[in-house]
Amino acid sequence: MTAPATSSPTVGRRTVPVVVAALVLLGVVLALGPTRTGLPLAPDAAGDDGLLGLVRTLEDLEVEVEVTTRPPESVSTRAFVPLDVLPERRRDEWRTWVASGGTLVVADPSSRLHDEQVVAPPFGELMAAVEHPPGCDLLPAEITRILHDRWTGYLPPTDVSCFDLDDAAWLVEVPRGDGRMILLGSAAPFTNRWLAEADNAVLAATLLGPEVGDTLTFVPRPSPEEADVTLVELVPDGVWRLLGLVTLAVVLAVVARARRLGQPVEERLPPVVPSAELASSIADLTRRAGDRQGAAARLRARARHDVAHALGLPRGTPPQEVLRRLVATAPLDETMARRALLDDPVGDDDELIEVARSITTLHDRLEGPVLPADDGVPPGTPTSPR
Amino acid sequence: MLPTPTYRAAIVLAVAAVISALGPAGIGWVVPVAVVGVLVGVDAFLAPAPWAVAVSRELPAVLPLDGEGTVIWRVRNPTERPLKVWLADGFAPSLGATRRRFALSLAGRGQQRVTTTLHPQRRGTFLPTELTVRVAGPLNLATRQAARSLPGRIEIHPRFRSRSEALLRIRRGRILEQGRRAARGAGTGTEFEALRDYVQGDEYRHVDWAATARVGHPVVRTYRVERDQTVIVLLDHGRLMAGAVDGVPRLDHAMDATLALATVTSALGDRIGLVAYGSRVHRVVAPRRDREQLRRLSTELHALQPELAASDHDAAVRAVLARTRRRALVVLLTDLAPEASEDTLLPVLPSLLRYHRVLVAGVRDPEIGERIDARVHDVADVYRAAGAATIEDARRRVVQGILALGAGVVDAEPRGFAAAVADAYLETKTSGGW
Repeated sequence: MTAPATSSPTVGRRTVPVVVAALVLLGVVLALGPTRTGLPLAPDAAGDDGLLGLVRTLEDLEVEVEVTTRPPESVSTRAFVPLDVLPERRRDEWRTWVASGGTLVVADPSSRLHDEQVVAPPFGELMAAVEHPPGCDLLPAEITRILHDRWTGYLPPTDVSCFDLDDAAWLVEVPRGDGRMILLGSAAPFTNRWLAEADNAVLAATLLGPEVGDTLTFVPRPSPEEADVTLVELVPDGVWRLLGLVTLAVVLAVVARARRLGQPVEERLPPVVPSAELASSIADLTRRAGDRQGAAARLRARARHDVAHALGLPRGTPPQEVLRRLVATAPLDETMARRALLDDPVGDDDELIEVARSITTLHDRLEGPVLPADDGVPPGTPTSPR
Repeated sequence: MLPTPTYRAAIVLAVAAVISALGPAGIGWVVPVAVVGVLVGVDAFLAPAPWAVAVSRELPAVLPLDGEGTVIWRVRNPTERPLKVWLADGFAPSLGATRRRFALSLAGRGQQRVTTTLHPQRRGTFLPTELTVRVAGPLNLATRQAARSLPGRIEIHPRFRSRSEALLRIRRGRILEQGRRAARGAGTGTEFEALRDYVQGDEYRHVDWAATARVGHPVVRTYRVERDQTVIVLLDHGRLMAGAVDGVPRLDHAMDATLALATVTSALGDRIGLVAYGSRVHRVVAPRRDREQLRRLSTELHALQPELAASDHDAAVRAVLARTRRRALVVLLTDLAPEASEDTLLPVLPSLLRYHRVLVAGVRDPEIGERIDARVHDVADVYRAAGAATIEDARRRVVQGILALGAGVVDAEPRGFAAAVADAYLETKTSGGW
């Protein structure tokens, strides 16, 4: 079998995968980004990762849910922070509120509202599908297990901790001044996706609305005017992970492309110089020196040579004689012929151009360039040696 | 060499990235990277060594500059499973290979043959020595690559553009010879051929008086054009021969004329030899008459490049005088540029002319004439014409100087240069030889 040696449309071959990859990336970003069902962990979001179900459940339990980023005046109510992207001044207000006796439930392990150490090993997250008994006195006995997709613990457990795993706990209670913070490893059990699973709804009711008629302050994402988060912080983690891995894939592709198949072959080429280069150099030097007289003299000498040849005059015939014979032979403008054949002074460039044009006119009248006569070797004609 | 990931590895990682982003959050970034890394490593481990793949190459030994040739590679898979192989041969760009890189998919223990066409762009000897082989692993996630030694040799011989012109000259030479015979000795050959009866119109000087006396009626001698005469081509490849005329170096025009001359002389029974010189004598081919002489000359000429040094005409003349005892026609192919010829060529010609007939041939640059005759639009055109006129005037002086010494001159443009040289040879030969 013989493979034909043909070139391939490499541009098309490269463009298609790039376009496909870009479309896939765009699709993933769109899939991970905000949807019509609302932002993740938003109180009005009906998607899997929204908290609308939680709000409705609490309202069914006759818990009044207020959505605001400002702490309430009363410290007898509870507050819930599913995702902490608050500006720092707002956090300070919340810390003050807690210290004065409030109860704040924070479900964001990375929140700067607390300084507890978090344990979230990457393999642990994957492997520890969280279905775990509470094992603490903080929660009522009805809660036997909660279920969600990730496990993040606080380390070391405080005095009050639930859902312990190894040395960490998923739920801890931390006293702050006169109040307390209840820290959760994740808000996932309260999302629409997981709220109906296991005892997740009971846990939510216990932590966020223990009594009928309670008020819960739901701390949402701050409005763009209020937030001091950057655009980068608003990008979901999944997108960052995707971008990181895609970047690594691009690096791999670059490495694959960069490996050259066979080295460039060095080749020493023979020297080639345009033959007329010397003529060009002479022309440039003559012009740079402003030697109009010399240039005219060379052209006139050649014209005399050609005219002498055409008239059958011997070599060395004086210019005046060539002119005289020419004018006598052909009906020519004598001024033009004189300008073309005699070495009269050339004052400026215009005169030089006139000399050249006169010579051209003379040649045209003599029916084109004339071959030299005195050397006996017209160009292109071989001459045998004697 | 380290194994290299392939595009497929990058695509797999990109797909893993998408799965990671859309799938459970616990996957993170370490898992996709680790999985792809392991797969690439295993694939590289399973790929056969590049040097285990059997590769052979068939090169044409000789190609003319305007010709084309085919290169064949044969690749054999040493393993039982299908194998993807890439090849890259170390061909110089001037060889004009249509392709020098290939991707092949070989069946288990299979063999594949791939070809490419060469369109050489310059003369010379090319020695491709290295072949790069790349082999993919079974998953095509990683490749291994190595350079292997695979020496080869290919000669690109000079273009013989005037071949048809040379063949015409052969016919012309034979016709001239036959015409001379038909004219019953009226020609000016000097080699005795036969005796025959006198007929009206024969020159009296051709009457053989001894034979006439013997047979009792007038008998004349007939002559034929001399055969087995020697032609020596003195080929200058000094710096001036690097000048390009019509896009081709003067040296290549001279080589074309040499080949044309060799074709004509061999066909007409003369011997032709070569002395190529630059700053010294570089190539010598002894005069011969057989048909192989054209190939020998072409072989000697093919790697000859213009030397960036002044030509030593004296050394070349001495080389001819030392090697050629018999009177010969010396065809000196050089540039008739005044800056070199007046000082170095003209002084050494007399010593050559003392023993041989000499024909000096140079390529005339048509661009010089075009510049002189061009219409003038501005003052730059005038200076350009003046510069060209200076060159032409000086060239004419050189031609006159050579003629004055008694040598012949061919000063022709590229299109008819080789033919003009061959014509000059024929003219010399039919006018009585040398």
